[in-house]
Amino acid sequence: MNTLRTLGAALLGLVLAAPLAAQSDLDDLEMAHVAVVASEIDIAYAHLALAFSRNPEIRRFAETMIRDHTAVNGQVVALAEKLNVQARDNAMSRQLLADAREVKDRLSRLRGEAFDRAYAENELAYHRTVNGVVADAFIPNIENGEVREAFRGALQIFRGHERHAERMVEAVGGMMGG
Amino acid sequence: MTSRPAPGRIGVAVALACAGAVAACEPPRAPGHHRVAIRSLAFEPARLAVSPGDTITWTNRDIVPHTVTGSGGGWDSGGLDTQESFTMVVGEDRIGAYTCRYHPTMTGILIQP
Repeated sequence: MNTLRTLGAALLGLVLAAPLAAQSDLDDLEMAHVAVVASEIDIAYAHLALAFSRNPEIRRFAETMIRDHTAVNGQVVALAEKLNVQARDNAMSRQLLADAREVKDRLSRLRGEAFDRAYAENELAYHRTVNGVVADAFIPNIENGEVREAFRGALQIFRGHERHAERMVEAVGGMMGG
Repeated sequence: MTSRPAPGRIGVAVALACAGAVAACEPPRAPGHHRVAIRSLAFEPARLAVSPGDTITWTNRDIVPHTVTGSGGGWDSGGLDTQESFTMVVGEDRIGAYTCRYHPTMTGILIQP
């Protein structure tokens, strides 16, 4: 069943494949909020995986997502406090949340190997898309040096997640996409 | 009547005695101390030449937690939060590949020179 992967990636792609110019119109605080929301979404997906999957590869990946995205968001919050600013809600972050609700709804209807494959494929597509936006649209347009360095560091972590997701997809017999 | 050793055996004995004397004068190799940084989901350096008795200290320079775990699970650091370190004395049984349990794409290897 590739409909979930197709749906998830398509929805995410529609949101995040908006013209790069539009994405780069976001200011530092709005980009930070998008990053925080993207992490919170992945944490939510991971909790679903821990609730529905018994596959050790899936569970290990999900635990890592919770651990890592929590740490990254903690760093964003700490940086915002240091800079005495607050990440700002915006249309892109709201759309991400709306789309994630649909993905979670569809994931939660699956069980067993169907869930495992759908979760793994969604994670790979999600990380590929988000990493591309962060690398190509956000980082080049961040004005504050500390915020830019924080994004660069987070991107290295998320690229590691992407490699881990590829391994997970192979382990559960999913489709790598491209 | 006292028997005398053959000249050849005398030479070997003298050579061995000299070698033993030289060896006794050489100081034993001091254990080495090595440092590995964990950064951007990688071990730096990923390949490290060590000898039994050496110590290695891994320090987590990432913002996310890691472990340092021998492949096969023979040894494990436990979870390392950012800036935490783990120090290990190298034994023969610890030479080889290792990884991070949380991020299995991370690999390192300990080799003997």
